[in-house]
Amino acid sequence: MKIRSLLREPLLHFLLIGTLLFLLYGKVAPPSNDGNRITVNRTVIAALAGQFQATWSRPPTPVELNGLVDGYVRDEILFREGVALGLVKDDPVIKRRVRQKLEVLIEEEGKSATPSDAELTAYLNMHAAEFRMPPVLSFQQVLFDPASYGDKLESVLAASTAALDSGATPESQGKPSMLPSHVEKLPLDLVIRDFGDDFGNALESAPVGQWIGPVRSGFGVHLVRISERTPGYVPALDEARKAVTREWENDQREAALANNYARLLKEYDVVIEGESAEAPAK
Amino acid sequence: MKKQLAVLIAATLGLMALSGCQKEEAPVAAPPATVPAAVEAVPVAPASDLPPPNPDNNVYFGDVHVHTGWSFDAFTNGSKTTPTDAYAWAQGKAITGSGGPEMQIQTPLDFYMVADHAEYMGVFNQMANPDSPLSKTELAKGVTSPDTNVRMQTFAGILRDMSAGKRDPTLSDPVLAHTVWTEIIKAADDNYVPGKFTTFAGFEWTSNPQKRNLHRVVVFRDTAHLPELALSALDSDDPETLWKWMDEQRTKGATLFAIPHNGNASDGLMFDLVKRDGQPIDAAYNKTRADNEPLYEITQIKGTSETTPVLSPTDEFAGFELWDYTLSADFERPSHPRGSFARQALLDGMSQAASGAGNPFKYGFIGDTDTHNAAASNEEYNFTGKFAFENNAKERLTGVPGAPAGQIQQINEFSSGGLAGVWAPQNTREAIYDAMQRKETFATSGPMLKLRFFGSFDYAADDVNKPDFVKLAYARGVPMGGDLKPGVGKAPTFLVTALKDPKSGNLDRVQIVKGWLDEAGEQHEKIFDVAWSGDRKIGADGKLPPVGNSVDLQTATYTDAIGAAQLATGWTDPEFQADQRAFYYARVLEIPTPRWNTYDAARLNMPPLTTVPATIQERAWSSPIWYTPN
Repeated sequence: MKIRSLLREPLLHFLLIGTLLFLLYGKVAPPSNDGNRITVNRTVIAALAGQFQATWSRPPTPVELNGLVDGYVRDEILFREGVALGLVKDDPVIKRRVRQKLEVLIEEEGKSATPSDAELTAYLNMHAAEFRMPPVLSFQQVLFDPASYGDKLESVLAASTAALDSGATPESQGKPSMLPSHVEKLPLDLVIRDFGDDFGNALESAPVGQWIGPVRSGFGVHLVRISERTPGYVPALDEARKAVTREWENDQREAALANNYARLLKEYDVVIEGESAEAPAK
Repeated sequence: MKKQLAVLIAATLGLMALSGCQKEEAPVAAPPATVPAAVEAVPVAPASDLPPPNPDNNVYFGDVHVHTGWSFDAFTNGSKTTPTDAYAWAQGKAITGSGGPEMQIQTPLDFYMVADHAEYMGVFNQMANPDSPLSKTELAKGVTSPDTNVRMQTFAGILRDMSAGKRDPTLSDPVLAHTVWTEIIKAADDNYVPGKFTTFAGFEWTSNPQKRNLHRVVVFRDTAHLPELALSALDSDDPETLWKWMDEQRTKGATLFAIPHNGNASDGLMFDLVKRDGQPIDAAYNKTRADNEPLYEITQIKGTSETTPVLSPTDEFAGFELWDYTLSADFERPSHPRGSFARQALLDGMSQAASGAGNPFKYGFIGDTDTHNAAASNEEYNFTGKFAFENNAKERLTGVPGAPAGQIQQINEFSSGGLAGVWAPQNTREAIYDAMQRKETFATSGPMLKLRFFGSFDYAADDVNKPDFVKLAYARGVPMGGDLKPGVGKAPTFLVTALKDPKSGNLDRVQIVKGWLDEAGEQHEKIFDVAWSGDRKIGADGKLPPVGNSVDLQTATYTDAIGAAQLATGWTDPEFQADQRAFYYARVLEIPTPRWNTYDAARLNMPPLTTVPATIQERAWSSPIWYTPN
């Protein structure tokens, strides 16, 4: 009988509900480290050990693990002290670091599923110039040093051209040089790298199959005979798939950052003191 | 009644106390014991698509010491670039100037490696991994939902929590496996085009005890056998720890080496004869060092560390682009030249070998950059600075407003980037890595200067003029980076050819730097001028007159009226003695051309700076060839 009346006590109900809430909160609330208590729980220890394992391919020894835990505690204490002193606020390094982490999150969100062939082809067509393959050249060349001929250069070149046309080898003419006298199937960008802009640009449009010159380069003046020139072209998707996918993904990443920032900016009221109150750049 | 109530309250409180204990051990799924493997190997183009390998080797130019905005110190100095930007820049695309003008190289490179500090950053890929317990959480469902809106809302919720300071334990950094490292590997793989453009996976290990530089760049030969995490110098600043870690990677199938740099900023530690623990270096240390480190980065933005006038008083070109600081922010000057420069290290290495402990400093050379803004900036006339805030010509010259004078001077003393020149049969990861491993490399201070260097007892000096000289040179001798083989001649003959970069100045001279140990074990060095432009003659003082200077400082232009487009010679050592250990390396100098600060001043219509040189003689250094008596 006494039990029954006890069970009807409102205070009991209060206590039981309170206990229930307390237990429930304990289950769902994150472990909190507030005040002067630092809890190095199993999750943290496992994480420290896991990071060690990933670096060294073996678990840490007890001594090593102690060192890691000590390091963690030291970080935590000094960090809390620093926060309490206001050292986090307005620290540009911390701000940039947090911004960087956020932007990685945003980029992750922006990664959509694999693009379809149609999407990639559309991208390729829109940015065709970026994926264009350069012309490929095969040629022979002879180097002349203009300084050693002065105003006789023109006649020297004419004489050499005649000799070459009659079957003389390139090696027998002009000035001996380390530059190759025969070049096979070199893309135009590498021709420019090896001989210079003027030379490469001249070869892009020069006639094929005959000795031409003078062609200038960073080394002097040349006679050149292009034996083959394959024009540049924009590849089809299958050939350029990897590059197109990579550039498309890059654009997606940048769009995610831009769109997200535009969305966030709308939620803020930005006031810039001073002469002009322009909205900040996106 | 009161007593029963008291018991009840006590019991309730007891219950609460118990549950409080349990609360500290909140059951959270333990992270997986091993994080899943990094990116799988990328299928490469079939061999038939590549140009055929050249048995005489082609020259390839590139850099492997590049930082982007993903390196923490690059990011805090304003760089908004990513590894993708770096690879785009190297291939010739214009990339973001991080607030300054866009950056674009004029002559694209053949290979490039981003060596960011691979820090730990947690994102969400583990949630898409069905083997990870994380993929079973509620959060994961939202994160991987096929519905974009649901994903957006989930992310938005996470961002809101983050900005409110609420930290979801499932998002704590150590738990999630996806790291910046994985993204770096992906950028390298995405940009690798065998036969056309090579990239590598790698990182920089940034040890700097008391601000003395002991940094190394680590390069992996392939992306099929990579660690889950790169080694952080926060674990240890001792290179022996790095080498031990590198050995562990080898047991898992990785092929890798490390390249140190900036001995000039190490205050004598880089090539110290004492280990980090205070003990003298020994045979075991020497072997480990030599096995792990085939190359040294002899020139870069933070200065050249070949030698210094203090150590090489008779070398008239020893004072080239010296950046005489430690890594301290207070413009501290180092005080220990011994142990800071490569030529002295080569000598000390031979002394170690002579004492029976093996040679720890048998380094080949490359040039590199250390840009912290994705762009190597090796072109003197197209210099965009080391840090992003230097991507502004006026501020490069006169400093950011408010900057201390010491910092302005330090930045003016930065060089433009250098290049690694590599002789390899084709432009692939394997071929370029292997060429670096065997030291068939040379360094340049930025131009694409092409340098060949061979040594043998079986050459004749005029072999260098023969049309098939390269084939002959390989057949009867060794290239740069090699060890002389026994032969017929009384002294070794060296064949050198140098061809200018068409976009840079003519060549002034070729020198051969010899270092040797005499019978008493004393170290010596001597420079021989072996080929030069024009009809200059060696003077009575043994010196070759300077080539002259065609630079117009106001317009930052120069002419090719002096110097030569190419130089070639065969040279036999007139002082050779068969019982003396020796090394030989070729050094090629261009005529003076404007230094980057003079190009900037001309563009801004300002007078050239007087606090740093206005002109520079760009140069190349071959890897040495060593001679060891039998």
